[in-house]
Amino acid sequence: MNTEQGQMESEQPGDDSVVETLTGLGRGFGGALLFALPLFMTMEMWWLGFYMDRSRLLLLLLLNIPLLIVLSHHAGFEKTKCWWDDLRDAGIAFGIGLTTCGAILAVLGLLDPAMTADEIIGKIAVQTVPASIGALLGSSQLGTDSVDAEELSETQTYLSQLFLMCIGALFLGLNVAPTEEMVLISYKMTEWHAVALIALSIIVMHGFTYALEFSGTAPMPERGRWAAFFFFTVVGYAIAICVSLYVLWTFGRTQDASWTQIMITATVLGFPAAVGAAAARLIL
Amino acid sequence: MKQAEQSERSGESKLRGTTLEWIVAAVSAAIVAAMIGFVLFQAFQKADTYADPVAVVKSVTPVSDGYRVEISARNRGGATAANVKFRAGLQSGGRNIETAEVTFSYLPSHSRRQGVLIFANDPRAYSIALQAVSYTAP
Repeated sequence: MNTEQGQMESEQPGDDSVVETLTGLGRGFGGALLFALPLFMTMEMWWLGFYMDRSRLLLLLLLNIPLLIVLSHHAGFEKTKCWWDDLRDAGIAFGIGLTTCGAILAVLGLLDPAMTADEIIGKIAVQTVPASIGALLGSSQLGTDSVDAEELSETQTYLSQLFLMCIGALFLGLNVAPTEEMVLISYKMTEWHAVALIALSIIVMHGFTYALEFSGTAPMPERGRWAAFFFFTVVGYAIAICVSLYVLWTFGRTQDASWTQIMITATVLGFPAAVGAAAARLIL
Repeated sequence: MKQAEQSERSGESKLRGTTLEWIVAAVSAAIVAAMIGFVLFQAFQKADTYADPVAVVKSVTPVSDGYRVEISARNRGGATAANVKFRAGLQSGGRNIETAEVTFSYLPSHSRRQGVLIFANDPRAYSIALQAVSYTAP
């Protein structure tokens, strides 16, 4: 049935396309809500709104734009043909994220007229990034994506797989990075714990993808297990660690910290990021 | 043999892809190995497993409520300290004029944190005795 709908839509775009677009927008809001709700209700995220370094916030928002454009190419509101469509969809996702953040934060009583404009904008802006990613993902995951999924798996190259891992890592990383617990865990851990956690992350990541890939959509081609380990698991973990470091830096967690401390915190955040990266390859 | 034929037939793009894959995999393996190596090195290197908090005065600025004394706290030890309390006293000829305290939630090993003490008297007219008085394990 989904396939039929998709074909019909592509054949004769008329009144149906308006309904389709509205449905897509609705899914976007749903996705933004679904993915960013945990962050809306995290107090460290509200605090980040006023104490976060503004240049880093700006960089995060700017990086979000190309990220959404590429993501839109893989999983968007509709099957996109050119980069212009992707740009438009990224803009829509950004807008949906922004609107959702403003609305939810206002309803939860977290925006106050007594606050400065700087604080209000900061609070909304920092939440917009995960919400806009959620809007794009939601529209593909909650929607009728059976046609798109088939199209994509043919064109999915190695780099797009890595990009999806990056999105997954960023997404789960962003969800837990602002919490105090991330750094607290790293304070409680010794270097030996960190080494064990790295090994565990890699094993979990490999097991996750490898075990599920047998029943999943895109199994590894005739390269063998070791190739899968090196080309996907190790690379994926490196991506997870780099994303973790970036997120920690963005949220000011690396400020005046020793390199050992930074690396241990990166392994802590790298654990959920690695799981996110592995899951993204299977889900998206 | 068959694979080689296939890659020849499908042309340059596949070859480039494979090379790219190798580069990405090699860089990633290097990053992961460097990270594990660094953490392992630190694990073997580590000798002191107690916290050693110290603080120095960075600047004194007059503000509306008195004088703002910015301090930089540092943990020289290899363990993280929590709830680190620093006490500063303004002293003149052995007499304590005024005392102020600041507590840092966390002072990670070999890391710095900034804090501020506020005095009613001008600290520049006195000598400041600044020291850590207590901390807990995180």
